[in-house]
Amino acid sequence: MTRTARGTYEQREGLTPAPTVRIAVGFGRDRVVALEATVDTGSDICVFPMESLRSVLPGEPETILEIRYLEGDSHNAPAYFPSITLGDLRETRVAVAVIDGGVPVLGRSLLNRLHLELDAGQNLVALKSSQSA
Amino acid sequence: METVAAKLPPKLVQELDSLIHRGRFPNRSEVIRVAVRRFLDDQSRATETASGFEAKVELHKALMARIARDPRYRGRYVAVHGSQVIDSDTNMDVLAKRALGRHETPIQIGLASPDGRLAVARVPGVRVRR
Repeated sequence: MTRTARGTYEQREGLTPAPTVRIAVGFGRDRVVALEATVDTGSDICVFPMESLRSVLPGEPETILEIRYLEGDSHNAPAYFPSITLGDLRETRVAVAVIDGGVPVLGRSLLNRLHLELDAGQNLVALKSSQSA
Repeated sequence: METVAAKLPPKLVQELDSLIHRGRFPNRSEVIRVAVRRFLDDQSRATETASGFEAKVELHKALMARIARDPRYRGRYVAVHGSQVIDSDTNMDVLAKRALGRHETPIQIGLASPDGRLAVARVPGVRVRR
């Protein structure tokens, strides 16, 4: 059975509308936070703002990554492997870096596990479970 | 107490006065004292958090550099419990999915790099105001 999550194109920070989807990020029972995240196939991993996750983060990071931005700026950030639920889909142990500021972004640590359909003209944002992912 | 003169925009003064009218604070000085105290506490917490995180980064790098001395793990992603490597892989996602399902906790994931280099995540679409 194919599981699906649907989102919409939203005008957020950028010049043009971006595909966004509602997600829940979970660090175990009762440690879940809901976010509106932008689909970004250009990002290696998911990136979420610290202010959104502060109340649910475990004490110690599960890894530490160097986060590198377009301009070449970089800094070290704590990273975790929470579950991410979107629509009927639930993916576990997804690499997520937590940074100060920014907007929630779904990168390839999640997207590479899914079948992704985007059509701005139809306002179509669909993420589906992929048999081969 | 010292007197500190500060200019505030009228909108801010209005909001500040409305707190006094609602009986939340006795006067402007008290509102400003509480606000400044909270701001300084936040700043102090942020500084402590930042220095605590930097210490964790150094510990993580040292652990990974030590593990990288073992040629079996050098350049690979490793899952570590205590100071023991319990699993490794060339792919971080694959390793995390496998290793974090184990019974040991906590498990730390990292790149076993001899020079302490961290794994790099490129996020060109992320915009952060600095």
